[in-house]
Amino acid sequence: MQVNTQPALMVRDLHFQYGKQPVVRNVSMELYPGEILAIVGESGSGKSTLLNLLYGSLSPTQGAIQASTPDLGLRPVSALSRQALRHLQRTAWGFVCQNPRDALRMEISAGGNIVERRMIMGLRHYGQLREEALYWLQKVEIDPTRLDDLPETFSGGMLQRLQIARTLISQPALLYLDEPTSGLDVSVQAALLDLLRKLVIAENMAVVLVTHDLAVARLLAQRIAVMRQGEIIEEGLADQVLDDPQHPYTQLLVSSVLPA
Amino acid sequence: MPYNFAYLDENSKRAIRRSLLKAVAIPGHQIAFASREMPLPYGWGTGGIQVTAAIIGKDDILKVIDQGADDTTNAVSIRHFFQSVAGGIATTTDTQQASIIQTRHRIPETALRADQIIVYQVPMPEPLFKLEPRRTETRILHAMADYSLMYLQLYDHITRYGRVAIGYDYPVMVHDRYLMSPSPIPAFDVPKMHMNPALQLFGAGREKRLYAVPPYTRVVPLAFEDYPFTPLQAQAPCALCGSTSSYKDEIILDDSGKRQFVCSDTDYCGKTSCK
Repeated sequence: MQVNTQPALMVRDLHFQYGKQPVVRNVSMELYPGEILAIVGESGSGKSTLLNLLYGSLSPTQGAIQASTPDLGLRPVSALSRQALRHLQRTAWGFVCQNPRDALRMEISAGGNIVERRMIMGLRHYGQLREEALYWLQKVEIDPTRLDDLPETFSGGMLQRLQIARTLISQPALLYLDEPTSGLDVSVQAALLDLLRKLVIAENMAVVLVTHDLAVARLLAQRIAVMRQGEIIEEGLADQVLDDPQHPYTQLLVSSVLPA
Repeated sequence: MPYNFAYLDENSKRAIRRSLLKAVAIPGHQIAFASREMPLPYGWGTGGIQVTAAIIGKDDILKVIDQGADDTTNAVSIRHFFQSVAGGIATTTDTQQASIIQTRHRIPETALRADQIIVYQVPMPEPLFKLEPRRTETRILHAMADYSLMYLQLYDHITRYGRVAIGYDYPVMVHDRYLMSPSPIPAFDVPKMHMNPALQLFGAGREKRLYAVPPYTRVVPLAFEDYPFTPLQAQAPCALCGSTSSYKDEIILDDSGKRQFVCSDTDYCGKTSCK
């Protein structure tokens, strides 16, 4: 699968600090289309900051990020104009955040929320917008009769699914997931993970998934990177990292999981 | 001590004219300006008055309309204001005679000419303010020409009401670049802005913004391909002049709810009924 394809994301020697506090140190990685990379680690290890750096919301102190663009292939994120970056963030890339209320427009109907990206892409036909909204609503397994309801009336799990529909409608080549299932109950989590896996495989996206839940990482990701104090201390195939951890911290992390 | 011609001192008028030049150079883009205190409250036309004061000369003939009428309080008092502070300049109620028309809520029915200037009083210059209250954020949206938020609003209107239920202050794209508030004129009047030979100037006193639509500029109301722009129009002809093409006010005649439609443009109505 990786033969003859260009990576969707290339990161070299990334550093970032808030003031004097280093948060991300010496991170390098490569990600190919169709691949899911999970970044695991304790709170404060720099996972979310790393994700924001990759997405272009933060600028690195040092190092380079190259990310896939639809027209020009891999482009250095720091060299993009604000306008180009914003357009990519809202079409060719996607970001699903932990709290769906931060991403959704709570005063606009579910259907409107889903099709916003299509309008950014220039679709100006109400009938078609509506059809696509309905299609994606069903794709994330929400009752089609809820199309015109306000997100306010949705449950937490439904809101998260709505956010996923709203993000995936533009078929992003690069998808960033920041703890997409934490705060949801286990059965909803399982359904959501299953759904995400199906969609990601169908669209051949490159995905970076940030999570502190090793089970989620094992289920979704092919590769896992373990972060601690801003550094990637261990990286490898998911099963390899989880079944045969090398670094003492990874061993601790894996052994801390409560048996079900 | 008498006032300077047109109330404001020459330097203030000049500063406003400089901002107006900038506004004309970037059609539909809001230009910040140092809005002056005027001897009337915000919301009564302080922006429009300042623009008129900045551009009026001794040979100009001024017409002031409020909701289409020349004889309502706002129109009468602003006309008197300029008569008293601009050394007896000529005023008129005739759209064709006027060289400057200051207006609130309407564009005259009579077509404007290239030698006329229309000055709009604007309460809220930012078309996105109901959707995005942060001024810092709307500036970014304008800079990036990202108006998906407004289309989202249209989508929700069609979903909820079956049509775009915006009766006045209908959002328009100016020169294919900037989203602009046409001021609270009815949607009915918006097509008159498109390719109009007259210079159109907009002043918002409280919000301290000026903007402009130069002559012969494209002004296109936002719409979807399958839901084209369709302004509402009264179904009855004018009860006084019989006009079917003009914009009507609905007037309630008695306590039993009897009503009639009459032209909102009093000058146009008077002329049509004389013929």
